[in-house]
Amino acid sequence: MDTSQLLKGVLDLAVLAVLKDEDGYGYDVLRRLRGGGMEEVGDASVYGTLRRLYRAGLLTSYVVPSDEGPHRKYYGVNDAGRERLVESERAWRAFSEALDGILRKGAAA
Amino acid sequence: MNTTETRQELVDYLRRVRAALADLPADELAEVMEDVEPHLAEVLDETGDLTGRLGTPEDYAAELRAAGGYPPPASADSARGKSRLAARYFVWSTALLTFTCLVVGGMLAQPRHQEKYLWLFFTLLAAAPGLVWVFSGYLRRADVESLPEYRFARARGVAAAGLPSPRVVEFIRSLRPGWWVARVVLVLALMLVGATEGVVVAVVVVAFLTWAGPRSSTDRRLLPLVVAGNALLATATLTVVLYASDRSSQRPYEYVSPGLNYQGKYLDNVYAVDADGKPIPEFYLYDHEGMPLNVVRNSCESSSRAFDNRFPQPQVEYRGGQCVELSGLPFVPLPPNATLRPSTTSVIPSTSATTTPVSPSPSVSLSPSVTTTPVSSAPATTTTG
Repeated sequence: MDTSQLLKGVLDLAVLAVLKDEDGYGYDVLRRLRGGGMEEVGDASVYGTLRRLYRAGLLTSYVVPSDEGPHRKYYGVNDAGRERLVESERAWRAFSEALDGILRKGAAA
Repeated sequence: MNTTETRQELVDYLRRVRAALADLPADELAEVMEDVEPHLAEVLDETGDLTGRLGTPEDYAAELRAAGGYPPPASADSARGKSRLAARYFVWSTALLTFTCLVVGGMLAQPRHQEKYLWLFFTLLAAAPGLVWVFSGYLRRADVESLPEYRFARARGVAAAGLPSPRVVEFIRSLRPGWWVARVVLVLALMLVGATEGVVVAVVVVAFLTWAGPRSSTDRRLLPLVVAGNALLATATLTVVLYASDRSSQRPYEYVSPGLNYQGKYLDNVYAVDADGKPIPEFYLYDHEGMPLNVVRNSCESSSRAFDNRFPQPQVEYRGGQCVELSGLPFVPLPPNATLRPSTTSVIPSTSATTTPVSPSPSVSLSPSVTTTPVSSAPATTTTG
């Protein structure tokens, strides 16, 4: 099945999570997500998500000049972003457990 | 990999993504493109094929728009198109206003061409809707700044402003406090020139600039009006300076109507008679300094504009399409001492009439024309003397 619909809902959480420990520019974020197993995440979706989180005040951004090629804009999680990450993680775990339970019951039935 | 070809692909892709997202606020769009540009460059380096991995630029833009939580383009497009039209109207009408201010400023010192105030009024009226949109917030700065003509003008403006050396710019800046003195001087100069309406316009503009000038550095909405006002004052100052220098250099040659005047009346000709009333056929006039009283010679040769002080001038008349020069008196003078003699005519001139040539009888007239000559018909004056 097409997992892109599933991915969409959790992309915010995933992006915040991969930026939690280390700032990164757009392509870093994309690589970390793909490296983490989210192969089907769309390139443009990641960039859109970064901008939305930034506008929501959850990310900081700064431009790092580059000798070759265009300058890179790095994103990092700020305090509000960390708070959101904790909340979302809790919500996700509760949701995931609930869904696990439902799925197990369905399988057992 | 062909570098030029891939660069071109990158440029095209970027352009189409930007076009598809053109309805985003300009600042946000710039931020997005700052992310997208290195991304596409990197994808291109890795795969060499943007569309294969990312889809069409429009797909890419749509995905980014959806994930970014930006409003869908359909509804935004019409609003965007409307505000784009409004922005365009604003830019062009204020540009026209500035141009009119330049022209009217240049004509401010002239009392003629009163219709220039009408032009100013109408262009101000035409610019009014745009200004209302800007000040009401209907038109945002980004709308105006995204216009290609604005970008073009701005690029040219920056290039032109970069031409003088920084020291010159610094020097001009340091003169800024003196500008209001220059403005007052301009108003006074216009008063001296006698351009009353010009003074009114200049005073209004100066008052406005005094208020708006300092504010325009923080409130950019005032900028077009400040630019227009300064344009008007600039050309007005320029022409007043030119006018003044022109006047001072030309004063010796100030235009005076040529010819002779007697008690404020222009004299077509001057005649002289001797004590017996006999016309003097040719004489020459001088003033008290011995300067000849030269006037334009009447002549049938219209091309020759000779000056001399020989009188009486010939009378020039057109008869049947032919130009003829006539000499002689167009009237018959009364001898100056006629009152001392027994008169044989029926006319006895009044005391006030002694200096007036009176024609007692047309029989001896040398005149081909008597229309301009004072002629007294005899019986009316018999009561005096």
